[in-house]
Parts: sequence; structure tokens; C-alpha cells
Amino acid sequence: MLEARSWPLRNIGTALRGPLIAILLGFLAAAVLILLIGKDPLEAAGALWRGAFGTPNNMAGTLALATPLIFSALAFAVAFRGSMFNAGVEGQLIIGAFLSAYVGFTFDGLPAIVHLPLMLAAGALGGALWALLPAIWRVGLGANEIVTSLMMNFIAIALTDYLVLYPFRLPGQSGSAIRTESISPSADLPSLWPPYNVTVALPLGILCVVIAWYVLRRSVVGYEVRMVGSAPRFAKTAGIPPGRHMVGVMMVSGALAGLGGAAQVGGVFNAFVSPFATGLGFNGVLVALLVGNAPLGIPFAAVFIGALQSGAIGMELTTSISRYLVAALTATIIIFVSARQFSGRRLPWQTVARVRSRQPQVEAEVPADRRDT
Amino acid sequence: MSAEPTSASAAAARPLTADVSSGQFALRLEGMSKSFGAIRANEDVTLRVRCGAIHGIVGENGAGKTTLMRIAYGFYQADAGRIFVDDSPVDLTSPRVALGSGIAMVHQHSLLVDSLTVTENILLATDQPILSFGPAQARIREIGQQFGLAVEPTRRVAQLSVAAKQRVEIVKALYFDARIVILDEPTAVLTPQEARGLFAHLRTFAEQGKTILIITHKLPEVMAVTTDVSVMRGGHMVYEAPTTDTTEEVIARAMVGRSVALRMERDRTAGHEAADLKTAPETVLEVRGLTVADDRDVVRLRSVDLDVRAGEIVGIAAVEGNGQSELVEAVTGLRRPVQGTIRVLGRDVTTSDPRRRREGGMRHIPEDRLRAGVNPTASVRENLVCGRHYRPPLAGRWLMRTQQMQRYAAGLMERFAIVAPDASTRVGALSGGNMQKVVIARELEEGARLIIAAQPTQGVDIGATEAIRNELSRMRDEGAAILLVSSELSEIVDLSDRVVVLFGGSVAGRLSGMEIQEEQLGLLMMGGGSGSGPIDA
Repeated sequence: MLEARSWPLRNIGTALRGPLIAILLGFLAAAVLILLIGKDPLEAAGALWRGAFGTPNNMAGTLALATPLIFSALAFAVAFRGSMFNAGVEGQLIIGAFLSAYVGFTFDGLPAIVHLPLMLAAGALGGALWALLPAIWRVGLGANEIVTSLMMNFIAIALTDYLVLYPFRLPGQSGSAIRTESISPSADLPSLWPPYNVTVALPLGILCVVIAWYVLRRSVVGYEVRMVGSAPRFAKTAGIPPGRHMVGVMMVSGALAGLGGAAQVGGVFNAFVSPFATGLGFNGVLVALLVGNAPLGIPFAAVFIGALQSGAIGMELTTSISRYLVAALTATIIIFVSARQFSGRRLPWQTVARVRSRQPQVEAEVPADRRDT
Repeated sequence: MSAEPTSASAAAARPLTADVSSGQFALRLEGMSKSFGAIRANEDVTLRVRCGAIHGIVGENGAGKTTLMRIAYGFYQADAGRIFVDDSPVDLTSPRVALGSGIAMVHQHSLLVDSLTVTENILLATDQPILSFGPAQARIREIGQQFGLAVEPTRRVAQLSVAAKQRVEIVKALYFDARIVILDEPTAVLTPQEARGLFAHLRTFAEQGKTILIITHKLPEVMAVTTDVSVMRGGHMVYEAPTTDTTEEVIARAMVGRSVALRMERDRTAGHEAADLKTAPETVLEVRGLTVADDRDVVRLRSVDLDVRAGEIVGIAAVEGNGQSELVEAVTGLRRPVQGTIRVLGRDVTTSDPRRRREGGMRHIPEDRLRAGVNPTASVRENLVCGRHYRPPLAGRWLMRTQQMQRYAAGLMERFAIVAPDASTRVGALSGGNMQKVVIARELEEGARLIIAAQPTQGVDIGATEAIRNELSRMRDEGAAILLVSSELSEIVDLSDRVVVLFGGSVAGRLSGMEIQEEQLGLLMMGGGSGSGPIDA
């Protein structure tokens, strides 16, 4: 998995084989669940499919839901490949979203060609800075980045809540969803499929995926990041500075998360709304886990999760099956996938590599005079 | 690899002297054998431990003493042999059963749970329901007073020093009424003062009727604290004596073995050391006053001076944990020294990062092959290019050149006879020997002026060992300066032009030329003898 094969398509195939079978098993488990409550699994599957892809509206909904997931999943995957567990994708996405919204409604009157990139850059910058802190704490103080980046999520949520409620409050609002003023039309991400929310952010996300893949695979920096990520002591011994790369991947990761936030602001809400990203970051982690953090698999997995979410709504409308069934289905799939990833053991469907007999533990105890005979 | 010992004649344990056999035996291991696959770790080993003795078990790494002790506390079950406690046969099927028979093990590295208190840790081993900690705490205090072991039962283990943790382990053994306590290299983690305190405790236990078994590498400790000593070599018990009847020299000879010492007719090329001393070629590595501390800020290497000149191999002989790892880490830039300077070809590199040192011609064959030497999840190609991967011809400014990398890797695989299906094979799928060849190929290819080789042949099969040693000799002959750290004395003896012996983090002796004999080295490594004095700075 570490080194890609000769061409991308084969790489995608390798990356997706395991997850596809996990998905199949997940669906089987869900079917059993549906049977247990006395419903028809095929009917549910049909409703799910129609909800996800049945109409142009539903299909657009799927793609719109998938778009931010591409960014947040790629953010997680990039950090993970560089040995950093970024549990703060959600917070970085939120900070990026707020900063891009700020740029979006403050710099009114700029031409779109300037304003759009500026807004996206603000999002990336916000996310990168929010990710920089846990990275520095990890490298400088040895503080576990999982904990610190996770905690930064709550700070991000509370901070942006405050900003929306007080300094940037739009007068005359009440209720649970509060928003800033709308971004100017020049910062509005153009739709690829009017009137739906499928914006240029989708190809932008895919572009980021391809760039990340290429950089990881071919560039000097990508090589070093992979070495630091897969064997930190090896990297250090060979003269690759792990700390610098840890900070680097976290900032890139945060920037990607922030871009995802900017894409939501410019493509969906046209403002910063609170609450903003309920679960976008964490669902991104699920997407990344589904494809074992291989960048090229991410768009597919993102569309899959997007389709499930979009389809769940349709299924609930047309059948009597709760959309939470889909949450159970997603969770089951993740369990099947991560059982492989975290146990390190190969499940039956995976290619049985040569079984290498492990050296007996007493190897070190072999006396010197015996070794030489 | 053949498991046939070279010293088959040493198979039978020497009969015990009258003095020893007159006492009653607390523990008898009769004819123990234990194999792991083809490796015979213990062969027909007999050990008799008198009641109230402090019995030292010594031997080189791999002599089989740890295996024997693991059998004694029920961790391993022997393939053959019988165990008697107080002359009754016992079947030690697990450590808990052994504890029931009064045998407890104190491990070298504390196995206590840091977040729990002393009492909680001790009670972890009980199978009784715990209703209250009160009685247990009272009992722990009582044991502490009886044996003079200062242990506060309500303290959290995390707050304790290493020595205090060890005391807790000992109290734990006593709490469960252990009469036979086995300590595995108990002083390895202690300061000399703490070690003296431990010895005082051990003597108290013995006076109160406990029996102590102590595994150690260090001969002065054997002389200082034990009443009896047994020496193991190559899976056999080769020597036993009451400590008062023996000397460090006799024990050292038993540990190393005459048959090994005789095998030293090597091609110590007449030219080398003589030529070196006369024409004094360029000093490549110059270490002065180097003091290095470990992660816990314990000083592991103290004011060490060391020179390695072009065209010579300087061996570092030391028992594990005597500062050689810290020396290597400081020289290669992985650990910042507390004090001292490191110069390579006259340039001060004390604070340079590893990459800068590599660019200056330093190469490093790390001790921890699987984690530091190779990246097992990466391909042979990616492993071979590491360290050169960012410079032409293997890379441009930003991108790596795949074809050049492939050609380079294929070339090295052929030159160093690395057996792998192709350069894309995961290194983790290779044998230990081929893995090490990947390291050697990467490190010795082109531009190496100074090679820091740590345990270069550890766990490597005979063929690869030969190839690696030849490669190091060739590099030396081509003018590279080599610092060789090895726990295998035969390797040090065979390859080194000069040897520096480290003991307890300081230089215990310097030998050169024909003075390099295993017996003398072994003695110095154990902290015995005074060495032949400094030969050169």
C-alpha cells in the first residue's frame, strides 16, 4: 500500500478491493437487521438507491454531501500518512469556514476572479493555523496530537459561536440556527449544475486528491513524509527530520480541512452559520478509514457516504425504516474495515501473502559460539 | 544455522564441592533441557541452590541463563528435567504455581502498573477477594520493617524511583511468602549506591532464611554479594563454585571458554596497526570528553575520549547497557550529548543533525535493524535510496527520478547479493540477513569516510555475516574509519585493530594488536581487572 504500482487505475483497484467487501458485509448485516424488524430489505435498498440517485435532485444532493467529505477525508489521510492522527479536522474546517465567510462578506466589490481564490485561501489559512498548534505541541512538548487536536475542536466551535452571536451578529435573528451576513456574490462558488449545490468545489476537491497522491508518491517531500509516517526512527536515523514533516503534514491537513469549510460557505450556506459542521470532520475520518487513507480512493468513498446520507433521507420518506439504520450500516462497514487496519491481521478475503515464519523469540539468546559453527 | 555446540565436552556440570552439597537445597533443577525450534537454549543443565544462599548465575548473552530462570519460575516448561523445591518434586506449570511453591521472580524492568498504588499493585497478583486494603497495607509495612525495605504502601508507583519500584517487586515476592527470589540483572537499572543498598537487603534476606538467585553480567557484583556462583555457556552449566573459592579470572575464563579463546588465529594483518601508529593517518572521528544521558536524564556515558583513524576498525566492547548505545546515538546525531565534542575530519559536528553528518561522509548501521535500519513496510528500492533520495542523480529539485532510483537499487542489489524477487519487494518480507544487506548496501555505497556499525551481524545467518564482515574489512582497507560496536566478542576480536572497552559508561580499557584477546576483553567488560592502561588517546 505504501508504494503505488505503475499506474493509477490499478492503484485504485487495490485500494478499493478490501473496502468493497467490507461494504458488502455491512449491507448483509443491515439486511438482517431489517428482516429482524419485519421489513423488506430489498424495498429498503430500493428506497435508499432512489434517495441517493433516483432523481437529479437526489443525485445532486449526494454530490453536494460528498464534496466537503472529500476535503475532510483527504485532510485526515494526509496527516495520517505523515504519522499524525489529526482528530481536529472538524475544528480546522470550522475555523476555515469562518475565516472564508469573513473574507466573503467583508471584501465586497472585488472581482470574482480575485475574491473567490482569496476566500478559499482564507479558509485554507484558518485551517492550517488551527492545525499548527497541536503540531507544535506534539513536536515541541511531546503532547499527544490526538488529544490536543480533538480539544481544539471544542474551542473552534465555542469561538465561532461567540463570534456569530456577538461581534458578527446579524440583527433580527432568533432560533437555533444563527448566521452571519451573507457573502457577496463575487465569493459565491459557481455551480456546475444549476440550480443545485454541486459547485466547482467538487472538481477542486478531486484535484487536491490527485495532487496529494502525486506529491506523496513522486516528490522528495512525499517520500520523506511516507518514511516518517511509516517508520519514524528509520527516517530520523537516515537524516530525515521527523519534526519538520510532522508540522508540515498537519498544516497541509488543516489547510485541506479549511478548504472544505470554505467550500461549504461558498457553495452551500453563503454565510457562516452556527452550528456549522455537524460531523463533517468525523465523517471525513470515516471516509478516509474506509479506503485505508489512500488518497485516490477518497472521492469514491466520499460519494458512497454522501449517497448513504442522501439516500437515508429518501428512504425514511418513502418507507417506514428510520434513517438511523444507515448510521448503523455505516458503523458496521467501518468496523469491518478497521478490524483489518487496526488488528494488522489479514481477513480471509485479502490476498494471502507469503506466510513468513517468524523467527523464534530466543534468536537473541543464541550463543555466539553456536552461531559461528 | 547449526545448534551443535562447539564445546560439547563442557556438557556435564561439574560436581558440586563438598562444601556446597553439605547444606540443604532450597531449589534443585536436575537435567533441564529446553529447545526453541532448532536452538537448544538449555541442555542437561543442573543447578542446585543451597538454603540461605545468594547464588549468582553468570554467562554471556545467549548462554541460556534467562531460559533457565524462566523455567525456574514457571514461565517456560522444560522439555526434560525435574525440579525440586526443598527436596520435593514440583511441576511448575505457570508463574502462579511457582509462586505457590515459594518461587518469585523480580524482573529487570518493573512490571508494575504506574497508575496504581503499591498496595494495589501487590494485590494484583492475588486470587483472593479484596475486601479492604487495610490489612494488606499493614502487612506490607511489616515486611518492610522486617527486611529493612522502605516502601510506603499508599504511594502511587508512578511517583517512585526505579530503585523503589524494584523494592516494591521484592516486597511483592515476600508478601506472597516467596522463599526463593530470583532477580534478573537487578543492578542494570540502578546507580552504584542503589546497587549497594540492594546488596545489603539481599544479605538480610539470606540471613533470615530466604534463598536468592541473581542473574548478572558483572563479575565485581558476583564477588561482592554472592555465596555461590554458577557459570553458563552455550546452554550448558560449565562451572560452579562457592564464591570464596574462586576468582574473577576463573569465572571470566569459564564464561568465555577456552575453546573460543583459542580460535583467534586471525589475519591480523601485520601491516595495519604498525603502519597506523607510525605514519599516523588522518584522524576521522575524534571524540573528546563525551558525556551522554539517556531519556530519563541518567548519565550513561561519562567523559569518553575516542579516536578512529582512516583505515582502521576500532571495536567497542561492552556488555549491553554500558553506554555503547548512547555513544553511537551521540556520534550519529540522534542524541544530543550533555558534554564533550565530536569532530569528524576536523569539523565539529557535535550539534549537527544526522543529515549534515551523512553529507560529511558518516554512515550508520543501526543496532535496531527493524525500526531504525530499515523501513519494513517500504520497498527495497525505497530503503536503498534513503539518505540519497533528495539529491541528484536520484532526485531533481522537487521530484524523485523513478528510473534512476530503479537502476540504482538494482545495481546495489546485484553488488551486495540481496536476494529479493525485485526492487519493489517489501523489505519486511526479506530474511534478516537480506534485510541487513539492504542496510549495508545503503550505508557503504560510495562516499563513506566514517562508518558507525552497531551490532552489524546480530541475528544474521552465517553467509550474510561473512559477507558483512568482509565488506567492513574491505571498507577499512580502502581507507574508511570504522567504529564497530558488537556484543559478540569474536567479532570484535576478528575485525578490530584497536578495542575500547566500556564499563558503566566509562572506558575500562584500551587494547590494540595482539593484546586483543577474548579473555582479557571479557574480564574488562565485566568491570574486572585494570586493563593495560591507555594506549592512545
